[in-house]
Amino acid sequence: MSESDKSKRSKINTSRAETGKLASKIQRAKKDRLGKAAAIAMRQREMTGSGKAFRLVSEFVSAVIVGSALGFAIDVIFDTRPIFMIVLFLMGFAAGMLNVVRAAKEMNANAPKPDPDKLVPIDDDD
Amino acid sequence: MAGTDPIKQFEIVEYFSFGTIGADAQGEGGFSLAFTNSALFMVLTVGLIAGYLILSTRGRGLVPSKLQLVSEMSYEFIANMIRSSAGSEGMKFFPFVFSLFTFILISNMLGMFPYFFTVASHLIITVALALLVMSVVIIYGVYKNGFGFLKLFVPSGIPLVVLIIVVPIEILSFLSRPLSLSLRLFGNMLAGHIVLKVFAGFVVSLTSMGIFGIFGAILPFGMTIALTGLEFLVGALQAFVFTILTCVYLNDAIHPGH
Repeated sequence: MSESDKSKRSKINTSRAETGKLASKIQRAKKDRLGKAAAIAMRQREMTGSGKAFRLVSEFVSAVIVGSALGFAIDVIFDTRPIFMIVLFLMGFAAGMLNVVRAAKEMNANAPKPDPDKLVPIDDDD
Repeated sequence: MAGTDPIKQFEIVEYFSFGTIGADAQGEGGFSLAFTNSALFMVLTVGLIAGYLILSTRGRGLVPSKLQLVSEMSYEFIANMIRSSAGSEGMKFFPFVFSLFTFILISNMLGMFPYFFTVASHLIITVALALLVMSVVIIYGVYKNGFGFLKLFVPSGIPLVVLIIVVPIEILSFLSRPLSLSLRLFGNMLAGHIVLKVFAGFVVSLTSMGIFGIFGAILPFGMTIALTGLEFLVGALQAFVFTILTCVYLNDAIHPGH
């Protein structure tokens, strides 16, 4: 193996190492960017307290209204007042609860995890 | 008390009429088809958005100018929102979601100008928007999944006996979506503007009550300033909530079955 061959190879090796470094750098930057995007998306989903409250209230109330209105319409059509209205009102109540639970679950999933050090154990004694 | 009526700002004024539908022989009653102040502000909103986007992206610079940057950031914002809640398949609906968001946002912001009309303060507008969303969800869901779309109402892993109760509840829950979507936007905009006007009205009526009134008017005046800021926040937030829920519902159409 000649001297020039060796130097060529080492040159290739160093350039390869450099590309590898660059690739890992790009990877890291990409990861950072993704993390940032995820963090932004998280922050975007957070609402103010009144916004959350309004969301939950409207989810619940609208289901009850839709249920009662549907029941009333069925009653008027089939002349069975007030059976369907009562039944569908209760179902609307259940659907509203379901909506609220789902919305709250979604909010919980999006909320940042609480710091475990700051959590205070619940005192069950009293 | 002229000018302090909190409801008057929501009045519909007809500028010119195209005629009436369904009037009787005497020309009484019927539904007037007219270009109103509401329509004017909708046209203004759409014109503003379209004009801005067309002008700002005309240069198509690789290094964006400041105007172009705002357009690109709004694109990124909505695209991220869709990707995070409906997956990359949801990007099909990008034009729809982007139009919804910008329309609600800009019309709410326009409504914050004094003497301007707030489009979303009328239930019919928000209901129309919500029904548009729901019809897109239903039509695309049925088109894409066929009968599989009905899986949306049947949660997996539930015994048959319980399904008899659960399925009607799920259907009711689905039916309540357009109402909650529209009521939230409408309620926020209406209530916010009424409260703002009421507090501003206090300033006017207190200052006409002599020297003590003028000092007393400082309190509602401060409140009015704070509420103005809050209304900007609420207007933007409600536009955001409306669009993110649209994305969530579109996700149901793309992937039914929880």
